[in-house]
Amino acid sequence: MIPSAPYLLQYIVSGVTLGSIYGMIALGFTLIHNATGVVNFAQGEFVTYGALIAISCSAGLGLPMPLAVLIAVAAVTLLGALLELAAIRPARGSTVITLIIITVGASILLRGVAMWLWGPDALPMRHFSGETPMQIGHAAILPQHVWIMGIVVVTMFLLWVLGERTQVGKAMRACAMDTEAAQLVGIPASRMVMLSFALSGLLGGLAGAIVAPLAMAQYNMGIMLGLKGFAAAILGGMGNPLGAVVGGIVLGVLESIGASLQSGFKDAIAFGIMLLVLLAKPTGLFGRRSR
Amino acid sequence: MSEAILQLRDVVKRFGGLTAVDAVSFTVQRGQIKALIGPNGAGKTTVFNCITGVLSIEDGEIRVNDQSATTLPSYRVAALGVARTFQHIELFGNMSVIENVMVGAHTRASSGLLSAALRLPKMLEQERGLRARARACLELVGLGELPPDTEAPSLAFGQQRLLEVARALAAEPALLLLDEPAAGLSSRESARLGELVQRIRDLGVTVLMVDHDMDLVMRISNEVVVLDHGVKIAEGTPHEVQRDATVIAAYLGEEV
Amino acid sequence: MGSRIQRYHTIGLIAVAAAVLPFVLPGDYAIHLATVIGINTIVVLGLNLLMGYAGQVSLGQAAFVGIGAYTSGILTTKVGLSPWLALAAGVAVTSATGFIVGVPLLKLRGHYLAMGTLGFGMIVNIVLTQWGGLTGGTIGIMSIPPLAIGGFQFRSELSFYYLVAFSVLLTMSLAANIIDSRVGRAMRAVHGSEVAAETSGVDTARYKLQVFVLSAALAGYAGSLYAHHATYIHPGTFGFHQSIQLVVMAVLGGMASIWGAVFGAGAVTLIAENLRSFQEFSTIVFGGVLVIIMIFLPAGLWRGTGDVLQRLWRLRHRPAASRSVEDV
Repeated sequence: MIPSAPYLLQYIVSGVTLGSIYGMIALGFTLIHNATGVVNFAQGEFVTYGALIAISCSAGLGLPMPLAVLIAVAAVTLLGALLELAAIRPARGSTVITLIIITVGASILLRGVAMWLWGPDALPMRHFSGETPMQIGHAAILPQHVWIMGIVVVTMFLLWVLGERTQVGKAMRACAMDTEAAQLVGIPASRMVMLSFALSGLLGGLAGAIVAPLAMAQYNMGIMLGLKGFAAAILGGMGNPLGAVVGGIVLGVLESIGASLQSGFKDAIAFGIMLLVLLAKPTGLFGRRSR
Repeated sequence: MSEAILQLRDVVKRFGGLTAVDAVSFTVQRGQIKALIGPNGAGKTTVFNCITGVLSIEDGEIRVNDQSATTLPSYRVAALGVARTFQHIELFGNMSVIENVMVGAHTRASSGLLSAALRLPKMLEQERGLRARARACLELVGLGELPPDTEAPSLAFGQQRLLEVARALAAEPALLLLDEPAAGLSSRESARLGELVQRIRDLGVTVLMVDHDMDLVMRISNEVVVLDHGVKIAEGTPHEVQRDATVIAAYLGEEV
Repeated sequence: MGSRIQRYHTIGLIAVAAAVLPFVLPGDYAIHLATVIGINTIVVLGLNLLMGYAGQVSLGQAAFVGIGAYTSGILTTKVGLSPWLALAAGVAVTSATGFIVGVPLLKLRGHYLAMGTLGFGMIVNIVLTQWGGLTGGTIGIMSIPPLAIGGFQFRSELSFYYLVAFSVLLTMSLAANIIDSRVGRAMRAVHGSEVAAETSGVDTARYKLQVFVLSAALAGYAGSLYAHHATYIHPGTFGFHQSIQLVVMAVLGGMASIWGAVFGAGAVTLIAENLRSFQEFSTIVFGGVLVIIMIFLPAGLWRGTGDVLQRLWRLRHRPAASRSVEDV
């Protein structure tokens, strides 16, 4: 029972928008997993901090929106690097369980700090350029939707350029493919690892800053978003950056349509899909050989 | 009862574009010590992994004791009477010396979760038997003096290798696969290992071993199979193989 | 690791301490806390077997606790089943769920398994919250009858405490028995080296499943017990936060330790209790503690500290023992 055609567009718009956010988060997971084999359970907290810092800068300090977003993204990028330095690097060579629990612990810690700094309530964020919707058929598209989709597209493009055209990007990819070989040709693996964490922080923070106007920001928003981002990464094929983004969008659209049918179980859709993929085809839609 | 304990017929193993084992066939006779040698990368450990079900093969047939083992998972191959040691030591680092060996005898007992939880008499009896067998195996390989509750990782390298052998023997295997058992051992330890392998053979266990220590191999094996780049290039007595032109070329070629 | 005799001594000690404890504690609320610690210990013992001994991860264990609790709650309030039968049903349903979920999930490894269990836990929580007709939705289930023998109801804090303490001791004995057995060694072998376990004849898939189902059964039992004492249950008690808390308890106590399970459950419950008014600080403390312990003392607080102390002790007493065997 798909929603009737006129309203389908609306659901697709919100689905793609949310989905591109999931895609950015998924990309963060993929970057770190490719570089280290670790699943960063704290990925969702990057989103939280991006949103909350952006709000503090724009609403709290009264800074212009572009600056607020920039500061938020920069701060979370640093946070990513810090996470790697403080929690992951010292545990190099630990067992999988240990690493999992470390990132779980880090996410709990970050969540606690967020609650301490920003309180338990949800905070609103001003839309970047107003809230006047544009009508396309029966679908109302908010300017923020356009901002989100646009920023995500630009970010993807810049990442592609980074990966294909810059020395640093290529070094990171080399490291992800074969750490030993990369080190043999002089690529400092540990720096690449930190870079991948920083980049994941950037993506997560940006995602948080641009989705906050639509979803509001709260100290615990990271849990669900992080998990769904992970589900998207699994769906697209963990290890494949394009897959992460596509997985995100597919997930977003499915969730949107599913919510229209039975809103209570909306959150279960992402987990259901994730479990389905993990069990049926763990390599996902575009899966690569896993680490 | 067939004389052949292990039969490989045209076994093929591919990793993507690389054919690691290319239509390899050979037989191991009951009561033999057979060596599997070849330059590095020849596919020897891969063959072991195929036999023990760690890897699945693309083509060919593997028979153990005249029963098909081609598609069996590892634990079923073990139940057929095949035990092995590993090139890179795979001890159970979270258990003691004696517990490691007792796991080796897993297929020789049958008590399950319920009888374990309730400590039923049958289970206790089996435990006693397992422990006694483990001690006997440790004695056999020369680790009898070790306190049995020593943590496995604290053993010296040579002792760890012997522990793996003890664990494999606990299964009372018909066929013992030794993957580079002499690697990293001093020449004195190597000589003792050679004696141990012969003692094992004398006890009725057939041995198939991979190693690079040519002295050891040539001294104790009855027959030798030579692999190079996944292909069998020679098979025969140590004497025959040493004089085989293709074998010499393969090894010399490696030096260049 | 410790020998079997050591384990029995430990259990004996705990039995005595447990019997005496209520008389040393200041009042009913303290006894209630001890009971909560006991219930948590039962779940953590299962988690220890799963994570510490078999090396598998579960980030959704609270879901099994919830399934046990709700099975008891639903069967007693909606169907009128006797509490003891409902308790048994709780264990049965949880075990069955563990089996059904475990077969596919345990094909996964490492991070993927962790995520799979997490996803499972989330879905269970959502179902508990959304399926109002069966579960009462966010409001939950009320007026669950207490367990009773003859005319005597386990209603008071003291009586229920003894019921839980007995359960804990029983569980500890069962766990100790399992660990030091062929099955236990097989499980630990899977953790030590899965390939060596397989080639030694251990059907790793089967043992992983067995320990997974066992841990689920224990969690379900604990959940049912809880339901019959709290008499009121709601989904909020069985969510992601609680699953993580359980993992913290297991990790803190040292995952491969029976004694540690009590310690971990106790420490975390008491810390949570004391930080109750500083909600965000409890979270920060948990998180920080987890990270620090896993980096520096991955064997857990109990064993890790023990190891460090042992090493220091040996260091101090080395000169006298430096004569090696060969010199004699």
